[in-house]
Amino acid sequence: MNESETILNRIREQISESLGIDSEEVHHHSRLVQDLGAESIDLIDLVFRFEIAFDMKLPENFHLDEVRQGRGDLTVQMIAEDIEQRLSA
Amino acid sequence: MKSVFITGLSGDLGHEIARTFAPDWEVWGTRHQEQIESSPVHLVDCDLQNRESIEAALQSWSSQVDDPAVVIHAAGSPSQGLLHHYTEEEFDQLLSSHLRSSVWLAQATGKIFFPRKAGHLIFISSLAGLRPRVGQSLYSMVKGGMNSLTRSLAKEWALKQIRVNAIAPGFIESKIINQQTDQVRTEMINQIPLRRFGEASEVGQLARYLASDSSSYLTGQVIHLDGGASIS
Repeated sequence: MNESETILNRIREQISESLGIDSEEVHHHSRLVQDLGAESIDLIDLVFRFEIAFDMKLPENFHLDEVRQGRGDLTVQMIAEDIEQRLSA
Repeated sequence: MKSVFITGLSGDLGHEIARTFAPDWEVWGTRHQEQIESSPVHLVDCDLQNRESIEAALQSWSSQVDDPAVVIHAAGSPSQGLLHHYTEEEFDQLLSSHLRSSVWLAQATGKIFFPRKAGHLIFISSLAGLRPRVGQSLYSMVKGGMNSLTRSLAKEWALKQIRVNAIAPGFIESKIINQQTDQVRTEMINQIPLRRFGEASEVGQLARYLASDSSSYLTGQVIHLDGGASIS
């Protein structure tokens, strides 16, 4: 498993725990709002979880606008790529 | 072992709340640097005017205890004065010690409680937030704000199974009450249907109840512990 897959899987685990859904139901193409039913408060929770899981600091508004505005285009993969980019920066 | 983090241990209420938890909870708390380290409480330095300092203190607590279960915000002194007597500096200080600290503490607390999907944040408010006396306009304002924060935050955090409540004590035996003249003390007691001052230990007992599983269905409430003063 390469690093990208490792990051993606850890993100899937965190989303699964936060939203209380089976990790098998969290796919890389799953959309956080439309498919997984995340709300703004869930994203705050996820930011806290990602910070712990990856030992990193994320901005307070991390992808918040997409969720707050109910835009359905934020996927698990997009989050994983964002975090991977920040980790390698 | 469950652990509670209490701000304002230098105050009568904060100190008594800590004593109430101490027998079977791991108690952590903030202190001013000049205080003596003789209590059974694990003391941490924390500048409650400073967001980073609050977050660092809470993170230190949560990383060193088994079960960071409850945070109690008891810091913030009562303030008395007619509106026109407040200077800009005094007003800023009042806002900072009661409201800004509450917001930063809540943010830092959420960061710990959210991933756990558990926890309880308790604010120590005041009867003044509901029933101000003359000379309490600004103190009433900040405590009213704290009460509103309690209710709105409880609604937001309920989605994560985190509870938020406030205790609003009325006239509690304290240094400030003891400094009053007999006449003023009598006037105060006459405003209390139960005709006595409360004990700080009663605030501690209520905090213990709120922290317990027995109150697990209770959230978003401002509980007036005042001998009936709020309804008189």
